[in-house]
Amino acid sequence: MTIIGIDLGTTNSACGVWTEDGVKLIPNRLGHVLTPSVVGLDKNGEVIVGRAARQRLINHSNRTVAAFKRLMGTSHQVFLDRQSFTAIELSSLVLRSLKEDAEAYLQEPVNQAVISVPAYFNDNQRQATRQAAELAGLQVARLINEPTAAAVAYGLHDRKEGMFLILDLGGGTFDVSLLEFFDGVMEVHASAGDNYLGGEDFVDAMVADVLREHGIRKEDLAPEKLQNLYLQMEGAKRKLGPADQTLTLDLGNKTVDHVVTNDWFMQVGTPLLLKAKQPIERTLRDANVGQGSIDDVVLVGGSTRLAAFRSMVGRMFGRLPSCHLDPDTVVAVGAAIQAGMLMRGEGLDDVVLTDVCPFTLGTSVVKDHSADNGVRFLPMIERNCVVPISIVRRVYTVHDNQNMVDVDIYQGESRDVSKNVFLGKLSVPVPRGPKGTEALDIRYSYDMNGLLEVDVTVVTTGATHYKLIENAPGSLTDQEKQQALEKLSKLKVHPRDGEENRVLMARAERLYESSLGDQREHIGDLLNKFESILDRQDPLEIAKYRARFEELLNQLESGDWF
Amino acid sequence: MWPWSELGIEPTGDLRAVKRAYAKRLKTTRPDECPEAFQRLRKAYEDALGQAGGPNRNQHVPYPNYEQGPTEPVVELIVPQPLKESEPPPVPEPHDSDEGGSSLPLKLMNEPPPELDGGGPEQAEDEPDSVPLKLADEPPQGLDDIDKEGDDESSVRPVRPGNIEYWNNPPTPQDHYEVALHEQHDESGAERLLQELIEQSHALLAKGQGASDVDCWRFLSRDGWIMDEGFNRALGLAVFTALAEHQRAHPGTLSVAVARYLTGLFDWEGQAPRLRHQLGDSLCDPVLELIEAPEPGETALMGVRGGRRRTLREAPGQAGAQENSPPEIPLAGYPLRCLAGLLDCFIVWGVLQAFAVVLPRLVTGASLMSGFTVMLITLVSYPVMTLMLEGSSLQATPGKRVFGLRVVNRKLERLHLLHNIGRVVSFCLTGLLWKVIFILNAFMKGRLLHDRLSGSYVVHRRNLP
Repeated sequence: MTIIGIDLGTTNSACGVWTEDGVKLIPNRLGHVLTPSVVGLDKNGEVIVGRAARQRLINHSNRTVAAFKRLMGTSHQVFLDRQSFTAIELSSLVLRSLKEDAEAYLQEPVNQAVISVPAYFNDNQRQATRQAAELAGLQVARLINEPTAAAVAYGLHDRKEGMFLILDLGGGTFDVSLLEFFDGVMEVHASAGDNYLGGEDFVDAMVADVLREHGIRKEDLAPEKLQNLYLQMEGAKRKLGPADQTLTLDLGNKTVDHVVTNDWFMQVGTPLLLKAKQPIERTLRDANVGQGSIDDVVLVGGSTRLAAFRSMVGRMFGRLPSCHLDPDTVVAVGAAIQAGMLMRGEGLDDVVLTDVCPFTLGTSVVKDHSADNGVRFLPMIERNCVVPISIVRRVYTVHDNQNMVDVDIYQGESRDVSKNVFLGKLSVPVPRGPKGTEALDIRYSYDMNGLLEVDVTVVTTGATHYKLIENAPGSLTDQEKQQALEKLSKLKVHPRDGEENRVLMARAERLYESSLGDQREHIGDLLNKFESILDRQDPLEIAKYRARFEELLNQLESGDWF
Repeated sequence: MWPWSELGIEPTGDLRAVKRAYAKRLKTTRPDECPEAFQRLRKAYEDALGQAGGPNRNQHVPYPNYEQGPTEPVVELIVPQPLKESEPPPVPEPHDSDEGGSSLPLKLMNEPPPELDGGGPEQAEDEPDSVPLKLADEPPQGLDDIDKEGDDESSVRPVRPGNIEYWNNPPTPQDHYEVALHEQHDESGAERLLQELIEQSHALLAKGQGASDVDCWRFLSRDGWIMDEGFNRALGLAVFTALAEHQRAHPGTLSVAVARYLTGLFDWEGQAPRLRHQLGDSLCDPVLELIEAPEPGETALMGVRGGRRRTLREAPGQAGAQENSPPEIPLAGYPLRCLAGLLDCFIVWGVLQAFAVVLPRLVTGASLMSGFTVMLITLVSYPVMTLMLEGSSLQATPGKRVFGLRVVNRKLERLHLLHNIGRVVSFCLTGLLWKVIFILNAFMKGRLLHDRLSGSYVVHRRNLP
């Protein structure tokens, strides 16, 4: 029974598998290791996932969506054409595509996976990820924290002992983990992060700054123009270097030339870099470790390629950070190693991993001796406790003849519960009696997957009420899950083969729409020719023309990074 | 003997030995397979580390086989850390006479910005013990340890903080550490810049714009100096003070967005203990409270690309239990609604009676119609009146008005015409059930059948937000 490791990213996803000779990354239907986390519907309502969908983000932005990982664990829905999707459903479509690729590669059915999540994902977001996997027909063998996965990959790659700081700046999230590796033990000391900070935010900031400069509101710009602007900025961000880049931007009512310089990028990006410093400092503070004790700083995630980010890290630690593994795939490699550990794969049975709970979990209690007689947060599991952990605390009734106790479950650091994240609630009946006589034992258990279980025992009756957090915002009830499954199974998905042709068509169509005059006509001709060749269904001829077509498109649009 | 027996070793002061023993035990006590045994082992390990290493237990144990070796500690680099200035400096003060540039951050740290009350920051320096610091017990020998390892030939060069030149010409990743050495500091320039930025902040707040408009604050990060820790700390303190004073003078004007944006720049959340100590709780609380408030859901939406539109799904699970009426709508009770209805009918009947029976009889001596006809017309007039009045600015029939009731839609707003027509039609339709409806409605928990059909609500005015 093979377990695969999946990195379900904001921008890109990847999967890998542990084999006798280490981790093998699984190529998708295009032969690429990275599958963009973009989902769209074509005009027949068929689902497109990955590269072809990303091409269509610009000219079919109404039917295509990206970066939906940010909505995991929230109640938001996205409409593609006329159908609504939750982030869970969209993620499951990406997972399903990865699963198919893995099955084709391994030549056997795959139904178990280790999936990586940002360390700072809360319980709601983890549950959502798990549900997405279920919808895709994958059982989650383990949810692993992304920086932990990266550390595992590095730790196993180098077999070097010491204290490592892992900085994982992905497309949408930033995670920091402090990890120590000794005698085959990988121990996470502390984790912190920011769920809304990533490469996409830099692009967002660039777009926002350009629009502000020209006094245009984002809502006023046509969707395809806005997407094109995003794309141009994304490209410019990737190409940042000593040379200035001049972009011609179409802002609807006017066309402007915008010079992208490092200076400008720094101005725009500084607030984000400052935000990134905060979790780093907090991790060191929490673990009570000085900057001098760090043996190596490891960079993970595509956005750590930003020179500005690297230099900030360099200046914080006075050293060159390590990044000798591919930052885009290192998390998938780590997830695959974890999958290998679960299968007790060869060469891994001497490695043990311990992780921490990155935030405080607790309940709300009435403190009657406090001045304002208010409801206060009662921490049960303090942040950065080593998991699995199980903690019991006793609480008492506050009213005479109280017959019900609500155990609210919160995550956060504030004393005031309203400022913490509400995770769920458990209502427990208790025998009536004078206040303070009836007692409840509340037990919080946090497991290796980062999922919380709460059970409450009424001391006098011994009755136990038990709950895995449910009906949290954004999660699906059983009935909804059934509906989602039905909806997804009704969706038609393109067959695996012919994907290269679709990507090329999508790209050419986008180019056709964005260019004018002779060039447009030229692309139109090429497209027609390609279509007629596709109709003849001669694989050899298609492959031959495809190569030429791609070359021609590359001439028209240099440096197609996506 | 706890904890050593659990680890299977003799009591020792050697941290490395404790770690080795723990690692050995861990191989057979895997956290995912035997969680309880693991928790016991973990507890033993932590206790053993505590006994072996004293308060320094989290101190880094040098790894002899670590190839690259830690870097040479660079004195200039030790910019004061957040929350850390109360501890004795780990290394002698830098004597940077030959380079001259790097003293700025330290200087800014030690001197409060001129616009502030000078007492604050200095106090912090004078009373090291009173600050609730997390880092205070960090052993100062950390850097010495590394020194002793003696790996002086470090391949990594020091990088100086606060390097304007650097921002202006960021080099490629390969050589940017080299370039960082060639900077020239314009120290007085930084001082001047700091003053300018502080003045500009005060001006913004004085105009009132600064409290609500995030965009107007973007000037703060226009210059690379804000990345410098000392500069950042000094500017952050000054802006925070200005903001807190503004909030005290004009409570409630400061927007969450502004507070969030600025804490993103200055990490006020992380520095809250320091700020509280220097400025006092009463000044800090209003601003810090804004910062602590949970992230609005909108943040999640910001990054998402594409899609036709995005909506909020109704919270699952809650819907079934709550009879699909959202809890925040203060529904009016059935008895009150009945009373209001009766009163309405009486008023309509009264008016009709007056105009069709009493007045004509006084004038001509004969009434226009019989009492029975008046009753019939009342029944028809009631819905017509409802249609006219409930959608009007009164939002209620006279009877409802008397009892303080209002008719609203889901968003607690006045019904528009079509919605109100729907409401009246559904009222008439359910009215066909005649007597049954009164009994049925009594069990509808304040949302009568026609309310449900038309999706409108009748609420208590005094309970409205």
